Amino acid sequence: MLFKYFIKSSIIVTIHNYATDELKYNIIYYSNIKKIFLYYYYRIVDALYYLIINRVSALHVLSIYVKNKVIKYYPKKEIYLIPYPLEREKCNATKMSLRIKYGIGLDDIIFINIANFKPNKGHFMLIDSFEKALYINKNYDNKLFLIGSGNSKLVLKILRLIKSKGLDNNIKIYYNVERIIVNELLCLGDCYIMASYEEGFHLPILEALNSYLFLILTPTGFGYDLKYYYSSYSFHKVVDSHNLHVSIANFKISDNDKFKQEIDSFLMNFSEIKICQQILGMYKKVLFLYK
Amino acid sequence: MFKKILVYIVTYNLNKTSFVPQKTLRALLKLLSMNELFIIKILEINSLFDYIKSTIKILKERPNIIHVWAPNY
Repeated sequence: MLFKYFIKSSIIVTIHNYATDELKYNIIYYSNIKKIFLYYYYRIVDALYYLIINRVSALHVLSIYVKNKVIKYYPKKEIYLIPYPLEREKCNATKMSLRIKYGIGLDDIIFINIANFKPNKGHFMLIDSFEKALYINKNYDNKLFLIGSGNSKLVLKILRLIKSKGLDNNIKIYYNVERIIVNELLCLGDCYIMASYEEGFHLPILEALNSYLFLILTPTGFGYDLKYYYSSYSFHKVVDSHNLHVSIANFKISDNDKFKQEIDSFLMNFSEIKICQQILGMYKKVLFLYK
Repeated sequence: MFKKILVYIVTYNLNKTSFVPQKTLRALLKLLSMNELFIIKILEINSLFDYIKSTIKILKERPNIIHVWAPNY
């Protein structure tokens, strides 16, 4: 009965990313038995997903990176690429006043990373790259803020690593902080770094752009889209993980009007109204195609 | 008078404000609901009980489109 019913309604599924792709990086800290269990569990999840998706009318993906993967699995399916929207918010306070509030030097370069504490987000690699960059440009006042929630055991491991490297003054962790604080930290920052190994979209990229931060990204999720489809924009640098330290070391603040104008024009594509229209357009097309 | 198109968006945990995709999706759904051509209804599934309840609801109302949008699965 359910099956018959579903044939009549058009079904659209949003694919964020493939479970097994993210799992490749996330299971490395588990014990062997748990690793095997999780691996097969997610293989079953993906297989079920595959079966369900074969029955759906259309697919919705958020980035070109995921779309390219989906096309390989479902070459004949209708795929709609509609990214996440961004609600533009202005910083309530100036960069200077926020830095005074958080006790940060006005000339310090602040790097920000927002990500859940999971192995696929590349926190360890980011800390290593940041340390190398400190020794390259010898600017020991540079700071890296890691913001996120998630696995507390991983946070402890990261804290231990920071301590063992003697980077307590340079790297700070903001664990489970409120949204207001996240927004304030973005407003006082200079550069946003995404060091993930695997992503679907990574929404904080848009939030960082909203605060006019320069982007240093690894080529996954929306980072891949920027590298291959928005390469003409100068507000980002997409590099492989082994070259991340070079980009961090070479970063210079470019707070000019042209930079801001470029970001403003880019973010116009992600306005809520525009994305809303695209979603409604997708619904209309699906209804028209499957009438 | 034209008949409005009924769309069910199936999602979960929309009130978890710390998670950015949920926050964004919530704002987007609000905007989508204001459309005149479509009736957008949101089904939040957070438990097995929700799932059963939602399935019955969908079966009764027979929407034109079911959009499964779970930010992470």
